[in-house]
Amino acid sequence: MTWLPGPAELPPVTYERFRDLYDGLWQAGLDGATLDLCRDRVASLLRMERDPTDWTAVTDAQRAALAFAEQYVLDPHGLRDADFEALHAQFAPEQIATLVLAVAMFDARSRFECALEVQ
Amino acid sequence: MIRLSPPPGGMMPFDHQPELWAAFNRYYGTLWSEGVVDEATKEVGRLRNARVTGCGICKNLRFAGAVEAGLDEDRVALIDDDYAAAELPDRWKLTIRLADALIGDARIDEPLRAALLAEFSTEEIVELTATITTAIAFSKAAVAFGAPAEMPLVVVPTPTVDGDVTPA
Repeated sequence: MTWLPGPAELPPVTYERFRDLYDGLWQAGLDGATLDLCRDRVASLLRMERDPTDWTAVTDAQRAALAFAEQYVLDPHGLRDADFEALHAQFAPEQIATLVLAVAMFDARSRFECALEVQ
Repeated sequence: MIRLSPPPGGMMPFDHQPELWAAFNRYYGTLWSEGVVDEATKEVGRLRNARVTGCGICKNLRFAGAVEAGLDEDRVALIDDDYAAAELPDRWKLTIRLADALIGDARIDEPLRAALLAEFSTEEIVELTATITTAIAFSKAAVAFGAPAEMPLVVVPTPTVDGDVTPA
């Protein structure tokens, strides 16, 4: 429950535009399962919760995406050309653009929720 | 190595997904241009993130509305490690504390909560938090793509619902 005295909610129009962006991530050429994995991993890192990833079930493409997501959350300066080479080996440029924006918004949303104590 | 080249005719990596990028800009522009927090305060939070995150693009961008509201370069220079002792409005110092918390572990401790509640309404805290966390998203993405460490200082229009957040 939030520590704010009122609802920790954006105004309706702002929230609608956030949803347009956020929901649009799943309509932009990258498979939903990969996005779900990255979303949950980003959230677990920021909430300091157990890694929810079933690493025995992830594909090579998902592994590359998760590696990117983890380093993005911890320190994007730690990303190396090799991390992007791994992404290019698995994804088309359009998909990498989606992945980067998705991870960025997962990071933003989780930070917002942690800070204001909302889910 | 260019980590993700723009598409033919594009300017930046996100031009691979123009609809998604437009949706980002509509949301970010709404936070900046249709919000309740004054623009200079939000710009202080954005610039604090730019410095701490180390985004060569973001820290050299200035949003015109904040400049017009009095956030000049002398004051921007004070958003550094010694900001607490600087001659900045308490509202801006508080915003810097919030930005630092959001960039770090994203936890707001009791003293900071009390200070925020004394200065801002709930609606303002939500908007400020959303604006700064979205600025963090843009900065970290730019760093991930290998943004240059420095670039010339550029004043750009404040993002609007139909606008963009980067210089043409």
